[in-house]
Amino acid sequence: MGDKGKILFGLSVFVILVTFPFWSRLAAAGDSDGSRPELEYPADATACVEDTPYMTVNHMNLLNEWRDDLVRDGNPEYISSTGETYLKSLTKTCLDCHENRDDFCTSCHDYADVQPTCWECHTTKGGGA
Amino acid sequence: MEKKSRRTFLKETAGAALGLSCGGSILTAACTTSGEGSHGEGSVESQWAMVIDTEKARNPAVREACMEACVREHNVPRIDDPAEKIDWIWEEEYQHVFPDQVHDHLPDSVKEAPVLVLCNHCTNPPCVRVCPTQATWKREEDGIVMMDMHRCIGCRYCMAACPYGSRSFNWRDPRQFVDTDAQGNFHSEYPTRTRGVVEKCNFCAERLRDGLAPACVEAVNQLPGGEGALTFGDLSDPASEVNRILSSQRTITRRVALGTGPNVFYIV
Repeated sequence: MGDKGKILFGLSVFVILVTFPFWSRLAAAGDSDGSRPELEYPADATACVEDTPYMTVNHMNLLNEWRDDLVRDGNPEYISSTGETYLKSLTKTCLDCHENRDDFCTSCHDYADVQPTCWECHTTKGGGA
Repeated sequence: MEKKSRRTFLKETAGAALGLSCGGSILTAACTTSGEGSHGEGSVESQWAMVIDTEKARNPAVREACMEACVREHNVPRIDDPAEKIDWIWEEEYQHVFPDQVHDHLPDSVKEAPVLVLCNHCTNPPCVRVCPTQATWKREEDGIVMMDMHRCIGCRYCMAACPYGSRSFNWRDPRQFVDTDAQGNFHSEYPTRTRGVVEKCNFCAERLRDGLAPACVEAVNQLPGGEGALTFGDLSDPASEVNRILSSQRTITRRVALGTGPNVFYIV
């Protein structure tokens, strides 16, 4: 039974490798305290196109719908659940209120570790990259 | 278990095979029919069209004005390398624009005269036929051959299919070649494109939605001496300016024999 040391060493290497994804992410998040990022909300707007809980969960689906409606079907008007009419436009509608993309979109996308490709083509208000 | 005779077994197998093959061919036929409709060929409710007066567009300032307006409107990258150049509206020599109109006795001044070219927004667009993702399609309400950059996979079938070379491929990130102002902003809010997609003239669909004329048309009409070099209008409207010109003047389109039905007309 002289292999006890080797077995324990092998086991510990195995455990470290298997749990690597978990603790590496924890270590990477060590800079922040892991709490949700502070988002900068528009100062002069009172309501988004839909309410905040809905937008938090569904903004990506809504944007995909807007994209298909506008690009494929040429339908530019979105009528919200409160009856307001909005132009289906990321740059002209969303960014009209959320002027600072970095303090709103990007900070949360970084936190959630998602990489949407919107900004590879779409510009901010006034044609910013 | 009941035992089947060899004869019964063969009969049943043959019957099943026959049934499958007939059913299959009926299904295929049905799919083909519905597929043709979705390619958007044939009738549209109306059709935007353009008439280019080549005499008026002989003035370099006129051609420059409309090409420049397009570049600014759509954030078109300026790439000099002809292999990677992005063109929406540009100029070509007469002999290349109208190869079937050229004969040996034409003087060089005619053969080499610059002519403005752009997407013809064909009635029967071959690019639309070949697109595997329907990223390009013919819009039914106004006949514009549209591009959906979200759907383009960059296969370039459309570029092979277009007989007019009206489509350009983004071999690399175009943003570094797009003009910016002093603050580093693009001239327009129109989305830039990304590496790996095909782009072309869209007849300024985004301006038409706001009730504006295409940027090139607006630019030449504001230029002294350029008025009427480009005329834009609806072919389905009998009173439109394009119909008035087409019914009263001698106009030609590019490579008629191909049957694509170009909707950009030239007064030569």
